[in-house]
Amino acid sequence: MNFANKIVGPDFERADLVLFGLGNVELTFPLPEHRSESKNYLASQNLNDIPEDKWEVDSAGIKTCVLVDQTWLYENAATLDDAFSTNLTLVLMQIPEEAQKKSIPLNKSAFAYWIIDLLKGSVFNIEDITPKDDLVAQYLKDWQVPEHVSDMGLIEKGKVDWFIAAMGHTSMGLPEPMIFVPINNQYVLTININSAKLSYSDREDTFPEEDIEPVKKQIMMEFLDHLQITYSPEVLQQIEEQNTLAV
Amino acid sequence: MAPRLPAHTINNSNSYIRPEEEKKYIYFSQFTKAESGRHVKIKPDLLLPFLYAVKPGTHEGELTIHQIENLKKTASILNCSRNACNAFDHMIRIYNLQVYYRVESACVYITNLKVTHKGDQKEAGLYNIYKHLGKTHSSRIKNDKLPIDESIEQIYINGVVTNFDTAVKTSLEHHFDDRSKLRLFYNPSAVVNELGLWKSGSQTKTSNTAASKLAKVLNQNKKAAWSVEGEGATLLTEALKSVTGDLNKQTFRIINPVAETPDLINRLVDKKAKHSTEPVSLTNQSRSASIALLTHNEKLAESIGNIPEKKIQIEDARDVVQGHIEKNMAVSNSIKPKPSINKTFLDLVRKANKLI
Repeated sequence: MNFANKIVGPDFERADLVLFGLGNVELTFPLPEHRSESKNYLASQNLNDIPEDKWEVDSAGIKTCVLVDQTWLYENAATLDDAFSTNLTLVLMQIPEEAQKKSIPLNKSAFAYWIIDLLKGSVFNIEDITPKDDLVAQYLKDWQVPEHVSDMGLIEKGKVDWFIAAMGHTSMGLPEPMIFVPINNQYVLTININSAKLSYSDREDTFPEEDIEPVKKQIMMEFLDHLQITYSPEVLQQIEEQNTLAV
Repeated sequence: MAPRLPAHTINNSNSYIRPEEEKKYIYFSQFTKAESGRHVKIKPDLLLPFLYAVKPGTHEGELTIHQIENLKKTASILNCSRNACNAFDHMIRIYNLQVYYRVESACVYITNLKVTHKGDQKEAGLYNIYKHLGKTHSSRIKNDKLPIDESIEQIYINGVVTNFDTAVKTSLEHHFDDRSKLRLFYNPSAVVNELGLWKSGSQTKTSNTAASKLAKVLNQNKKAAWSVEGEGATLLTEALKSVTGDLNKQTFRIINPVAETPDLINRLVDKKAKHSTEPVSLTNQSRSASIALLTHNEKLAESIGNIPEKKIQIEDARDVVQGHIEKNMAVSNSIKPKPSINKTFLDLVRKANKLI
């Protein structure tokens, strides 16, 4: 992809493909070697083979496992200076049993509300407060948690849609986007792609401030365009049933 | 024609390389012995900063070496416009290395090397760090003020990192007690660059602000377990200069020390700070710590021995660095220039690199 201001990054068209088998769903994505600052992905590429110690459980009973954690450098083709550092994290999330029974990830509307509740729960967990706390509204505002489903973005992917929700403390600037991808009734994939503008203290930074956010967005969308999820006919049927019921 | 510089920027005291000084320089490599072009010579004591910045054998490392060799093609001094605030010093940037040099008749003399790390624009200071749902979250702590309670703080100061996210991830690797919250004192690359290593730094506003913020946290003297990694030690040393009282409630652990670690340990001892049972720890991956130990391994063992806590036996403390001392003595001996053998700087670099 051609980025603004002659920024050059990894080539997702020419890269090794990594494939994870998540039961009846297959996840495929390219991991280019281009100037990787760090690369770490789970060797076991089958859901059943993921060792137990790779899973973390939070206080709400949600299990998470980091599938990929990779950082790439994007450089300025004119100066050869590194211009952006981008970190990609793919996290597989096993949702609580109650939500599994209701097949929440497969029901678009229920999934959207579940994400909002999940992010609010994150704030309770981080700040160590309960929903009854007097300062809940202030904390949620401080962490810039989306209040309504309409505050989230949507990426349409045929029969399955992905949600983009942003969250982050106001003291850190703009909230960071998280992409939620339904896998099946048990699992959800979360994607975090964060880019930081880099500079060198011994040379002038000529990159325009107003171009930083658009380039960050372009970097994120490029990876998302190359992430492929193949659902089995059974899962697709479940998705159809769930969303027909909702209508 | 070279641009005219303002008079105050010209350093007349060092206007040329004197004959006795010239003897201290050695050839940069076999290719710089002036079969064509100028000689390129360098001071052997720049070996450690060179090894710190350049990793021979990598693409970037070899390109850097090649570009330095190409200084032999340097045009006449009158045509050189790359001036470094001094009528006789010039500078080129190769990746993260600044090479300062002088051109005199048939020779280019490399007089200094300076490393500049890239980094993000996140401000230095104290941050809360959380991990939830496989993702890290953070928030800035207002006025760098720790909460007033009886809890024990866990605070991590990072070494050189490209961005804040990397510092957060590294801090989590050192979060050894899940019962207490983790804080990060973020040490951005801009501060590392300013404070410098190998006495190449030049302090300005960014590093002074960072050091005074850190001093403010230290001055609170709250019970805290600090982990200080790599170049973070330089910032801590700077901050300690502004600490007014004792640090008797704070415990320090230094990971992969670089630069003036013996000085830091001595300052902490003066401030009555506590040291963890393993005051200095080294990981095998730290190239910069291995290089730093080349210069002050004995001093470091001595300063660890000065730590007053009875639980730390001097012999045990020495063991912490003993393995590295032996290895590094071998490196030190192997890289001592021997004029009779006619070794070049690059020969020394490659030999030392194998041992680090």
